[in-house]
Amino acid sequence: MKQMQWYALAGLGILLIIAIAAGLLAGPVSVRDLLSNESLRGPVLMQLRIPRVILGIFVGAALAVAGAAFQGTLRNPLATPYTLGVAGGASLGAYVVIFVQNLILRTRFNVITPSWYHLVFVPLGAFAGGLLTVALVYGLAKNRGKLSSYSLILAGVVINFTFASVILLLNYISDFTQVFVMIRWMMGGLTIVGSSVLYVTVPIVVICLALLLSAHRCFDILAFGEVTAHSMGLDVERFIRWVFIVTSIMVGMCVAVCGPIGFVGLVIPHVLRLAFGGRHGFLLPASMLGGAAFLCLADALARVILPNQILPVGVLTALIGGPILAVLLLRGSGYEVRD
Amino acid sequence: MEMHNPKSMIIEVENLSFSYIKSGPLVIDGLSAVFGPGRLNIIIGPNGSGKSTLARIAIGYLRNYNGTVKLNGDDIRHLTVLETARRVAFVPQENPISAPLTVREAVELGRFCQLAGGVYPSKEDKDVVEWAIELTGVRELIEKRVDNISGGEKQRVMIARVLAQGAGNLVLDEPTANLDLKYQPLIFDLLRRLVEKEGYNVTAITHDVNLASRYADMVFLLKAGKIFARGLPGEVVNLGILESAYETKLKIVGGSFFIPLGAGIEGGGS
Repeated sequence: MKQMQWYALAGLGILLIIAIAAGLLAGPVSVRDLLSNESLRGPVLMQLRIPRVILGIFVGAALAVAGAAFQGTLRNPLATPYTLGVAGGASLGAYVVIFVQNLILRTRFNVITPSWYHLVFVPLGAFAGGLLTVALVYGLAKNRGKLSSYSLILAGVVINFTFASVILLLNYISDFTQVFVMIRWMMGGLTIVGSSVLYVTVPIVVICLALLLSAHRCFDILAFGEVTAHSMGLDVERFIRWVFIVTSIMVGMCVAVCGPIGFVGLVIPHVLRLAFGGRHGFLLPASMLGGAAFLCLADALARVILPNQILPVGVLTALIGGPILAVLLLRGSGYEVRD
Repeated sequence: MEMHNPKSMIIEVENLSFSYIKSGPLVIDGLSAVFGPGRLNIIIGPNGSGKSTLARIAIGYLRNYNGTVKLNGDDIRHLTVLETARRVAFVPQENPISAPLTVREAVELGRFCQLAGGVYPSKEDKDVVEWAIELTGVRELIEKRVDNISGGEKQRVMIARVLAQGAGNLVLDEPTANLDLKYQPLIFDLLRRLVEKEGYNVTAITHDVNLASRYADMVFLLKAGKIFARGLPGEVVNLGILESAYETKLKIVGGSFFIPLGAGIEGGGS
């Protein structure tokens, strides 16, 4: 068992290296052109591909670890930051920013926003929206008495549906170009130019990952159920709140930069748990490696799958993740979902 | 290995009242009792008499009660969750473990409250885990996954886990509820040994009055959140007291076995 987990970690590490290589080589500019044309090599690698691969590594790792953390604390494979409303809230936050710029600032007050408006305020709006939503879901669930995974997921579903309809409403009353910007954002992608975004994202993700990984035993303890976990020395309610805060900051950051990239957080930890066992001292680092590799590979694939076009990676992860999830659901969840 | 001083292992409950809903019906109603020191205490009582609630209060899980609960002499309200876990360990009625852990991993996790933020288990931690595995006889299971072993094996694993925890008080909620005839005495033999040889103070809830009369040092009979009767097994587990506590007719078979007859004592029926 233990040995197999080490092999699994090593395997995932190798997969990540392959994914990085693929991420650096795949794209509209072919490998041959990159090697022969020196004036192309610098800008394409330094400005586009290297930042993109780095972003993919950290966002993939963050999403998968966040998924593992939520699934672990709430003992439910469906509990991920996305199902609990982070993505919905972040999307709404981003929408509101775009909407305000277009309909209020531009149309009403004739303010011409600077070109960096979207670059700065869309992520900020998304980040704030994500965090506020999690706080709202937490508050709603708490209101029903003792915090349970059931009430959290229920509250998350309610919030997600509500926000989705608000987004539809905003879509309806916005003009054509704005709707395009919004929908494009909703697809989720790793498109960045230059490395300035990384200076904010990477440190935050690294700190949050370290915090979550260091708490691996607390996640294990929770597998015994809340009462027993408490009797074993874990302040369950405080721990769940802490997990909520740390993961929401981390995922909020990722969604703010990349838009909602789905299914990484749901599928990666779930597959690893079913295949190699549930101890979080293994599961969290494995999810980190697996998520990073998966997102890099998916992004590399997204750059070559359509001729002369780059598909948003969020579309691809959902296309791959959906069927995987369906198979998993049919084969059993690996949890006894019980309170 | 982990010898406890049996004289100081004690759970004291004083004038305890508890309700799940604010100003709702009292599940525990002015209950006072001393469990221990260093005894096998068995709590029996009809459904809804507050046995499990009492256990959850005694392990520090339910907090908004009135009255006092003391663990080894100290008020549980003044203890942190970790400190409480070092004094009292708990085996719940059901053990749904929602992660595919191995038996060894499950027992090792019992050590959690003793690691206290430490990254790696010490030599002592490892020794305690081995001792708990040995004492409960789960050695041959350690590489199996906890979701792939039988109910009786799982219960022994859970007892190994609480032994690893290093708390001198053990509270068990119906440890034999789902076990067959072979395992029921096996578990209680183990609990007896923990009290006599290892210095534990064990408090177990059970529905089986026959097991209670055979194994207990002290029997506590709960009814409607109060102590209905307490004392040596022979004083509590007798026809008169049981019939009025359970409000049903009983029959003694073969000297000391109590068999319910299925009709209410006031002719109310079952």
